[in-house]
Amino acid sequence: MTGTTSLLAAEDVSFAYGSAQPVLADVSLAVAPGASLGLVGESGAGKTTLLRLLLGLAAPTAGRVVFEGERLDIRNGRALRRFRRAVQPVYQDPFSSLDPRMPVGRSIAEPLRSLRIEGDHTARVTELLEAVGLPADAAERYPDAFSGGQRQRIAIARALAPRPRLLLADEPVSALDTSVRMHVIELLQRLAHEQGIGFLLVSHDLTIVSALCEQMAVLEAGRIVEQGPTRSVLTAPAHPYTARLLASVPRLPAP
Amino acid sequence: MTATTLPVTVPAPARPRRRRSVNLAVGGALFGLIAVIGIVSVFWTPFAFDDTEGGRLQPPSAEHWAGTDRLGRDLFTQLMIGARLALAVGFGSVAIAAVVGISLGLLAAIARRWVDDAVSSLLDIAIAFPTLLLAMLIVAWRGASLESAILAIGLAGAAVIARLTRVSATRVLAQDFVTASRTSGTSTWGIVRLHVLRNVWPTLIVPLALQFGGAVGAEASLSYLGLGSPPPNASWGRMLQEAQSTVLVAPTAAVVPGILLVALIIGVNLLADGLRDVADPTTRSIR
Amino acid sequence: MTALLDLTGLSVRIEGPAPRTLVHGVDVSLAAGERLGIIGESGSGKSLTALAVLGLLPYPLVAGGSARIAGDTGAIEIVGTPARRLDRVRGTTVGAVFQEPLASLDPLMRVGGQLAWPLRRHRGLRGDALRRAVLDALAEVQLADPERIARSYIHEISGGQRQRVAIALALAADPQLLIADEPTTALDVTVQAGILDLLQREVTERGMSLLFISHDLPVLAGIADRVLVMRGGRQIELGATAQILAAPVDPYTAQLVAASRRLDEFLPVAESGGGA
Repeated sequence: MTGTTSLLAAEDVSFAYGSAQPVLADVSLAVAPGASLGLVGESGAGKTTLLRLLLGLAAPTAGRVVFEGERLDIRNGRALRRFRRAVQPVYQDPFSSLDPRMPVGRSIAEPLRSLRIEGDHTARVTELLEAVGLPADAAERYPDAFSGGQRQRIAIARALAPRPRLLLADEPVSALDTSVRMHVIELLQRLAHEQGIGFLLVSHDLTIVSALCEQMAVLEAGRIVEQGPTRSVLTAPAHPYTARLLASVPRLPAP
Repeated sequence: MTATTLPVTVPAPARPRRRRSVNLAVGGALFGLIAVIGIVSVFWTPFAFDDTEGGRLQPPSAEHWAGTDRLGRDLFTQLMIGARLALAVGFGSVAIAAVVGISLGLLAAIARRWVDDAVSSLLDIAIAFPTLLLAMLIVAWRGASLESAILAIGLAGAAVIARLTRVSATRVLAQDFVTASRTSGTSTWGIVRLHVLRNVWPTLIVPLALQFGGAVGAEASLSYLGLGSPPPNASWGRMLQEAQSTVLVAPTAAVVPGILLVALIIGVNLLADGLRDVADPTTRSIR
Repeated sequence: MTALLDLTGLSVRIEGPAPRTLVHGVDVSLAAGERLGIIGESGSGKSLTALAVLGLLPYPLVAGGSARIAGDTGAIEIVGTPARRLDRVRGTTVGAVFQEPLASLDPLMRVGGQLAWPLRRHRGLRGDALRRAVLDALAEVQLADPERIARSYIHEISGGQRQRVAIALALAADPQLLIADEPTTALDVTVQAGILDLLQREVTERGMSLLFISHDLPVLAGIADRVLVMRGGRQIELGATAQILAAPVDPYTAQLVAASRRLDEFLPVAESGGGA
């Protein structure tokens, strides 16, 4: 699945701080355009680091990150800008992912400015707010006027601003209340369907991965231990760690 | 996430009525009064500064509201000009402290580790260095003048502001919205301009306001020691020094400059406290 | 049969220039050996209720109404009682485990030292007996290598280990009621399963009552006999777990259960009849 057909891929990526134990070792995965991949792992598995590498915030110590078939060189300004237009993140904590002292509209418009995207930014912000189900006048207000779920929608609006082809979401709903989670999940599903946006979703929560991703990979201690279509992996996990993860999820008793 | 919180945040009480603005009111009044005197002195004073016709060491009278000094100059005029000078010192040194301090603090926060270490060590030395000694060195280098005094006091204050800025900026830089800004394609300089400054600024308002009062006091000390702008200037500190020897004969000249000095410094400090009360974030989380 | 814990109109208010009520009155009784779950989303007031029962509301919050605990030493009213008298109840009659173990454990004291305090105070142990009791307590919460853990500082052990230490601490004085406020929310899912198992086991073996607070319905469903639903500081519904899940009365409860079910359905039916 790597190489020519993928939008974003990691090829034998490793990462270590100095000479310490590697945080990631020989990780390979790929996301095809419009596809969805879930990356499951617990704390210390290296998810955050992998996400940073895939977002171009750091470079791997071995292996390479491949964007549209070419190695991603984060020191190349133009290539990085092109990359950022196509790949955008959604962060976990809705309370720290928006600048508390900036009106929400400006936060959403920031990628448009920084990536030098042409067009009427104000109109685009309104369009984005509507796309995530928020009123246009929300742009004037500050983040503290909104609930956690609404802030997450604003963060999604910001991510959508440069018309990306792939969203990298780090635990996008785990900080949200149960009743709100479904709404955000449905929003993400709708966006994927309508605009053909792909996902790479990082989560410790198998439920979310199952809801949103056709493919999934399991990360344990810096290595991918299992990978494949979500349905198959969850109904018949091959690796014991995957089985243990699945068995640990608290379930409602059958109705 | 937040490692040391109790498992609950106290939600915001509805905005309290302005009871707590007593500080702001009193401080504002004191500061405002002296500011008005200083500003007016630019346009008008009862007498010219070097008008020595008044007779020496006269007590307060209808003509000379605060009396005269030992050279026959009107004291009220001098007090007014002294107010202007005190404000100039306050604003000037705070401006220097802010510009130099914030720049250094930001540099230390965003630069590579070794730059940060180097700057921090420099700041530690600067903070440990006594302001007065620094002032004397600068005066020895540039000669005694108002500018030298403002420069010295400003630089001394800059070190503290730099430290505060560095801590605050580091905290801001660790937030997700800064990472989000990077992935939005914003440059480091853009991040500083767009996000860091506006989030760091509130923590600096009160320290800078307090520095104002400190600066006024420091300048008075320097002038008292003869290191401030040379006569004929009208620093309250110099007036105190001159009036020392004749305090029993002409008490007004010795007491009033001191009272004004205290009033201004207390006024600014109360103002700073009042700003802190008013600018208090609406949520109090018990951390 | 007198209840172990009796809450009557328990409320929480902020006093001061702009008073507000955060919890509007909770009414529920907990019998000895019973397990009650409180479920609510953010802002529901569930954690404040727990703090009120423990008499640990931070200033400027104040409790109202009544929270009576009937322990071995007689009944005591928590609301309005000075802290000094409550100290006797906390630990011995009521133990507590919170969401963030880093908040309830002392970062500057070794684990063994912290555990020794309540053991020394409540069981009067000294010297070797005390040392052995500390190691036993650590082993009881299924910590491998209790000697190493006892010598460690809390930042030297993992999140799951810390929470086990926090549980050991809460159980040290042998309380009759354990209050657990989101004890597993900050933990990885595999670790969570272990902690929930541990809590179940301890509560059963010691015949304790349990007040378990969570936002996560599946977690609660696995451990509580009855569920109290809270929202916006108000008590919405109270009933047996099975009944709440099958036939919730209040529309909010119904919506909460429905949302949880929809999420739960994304995972394939559990082979072995449920996780945790």
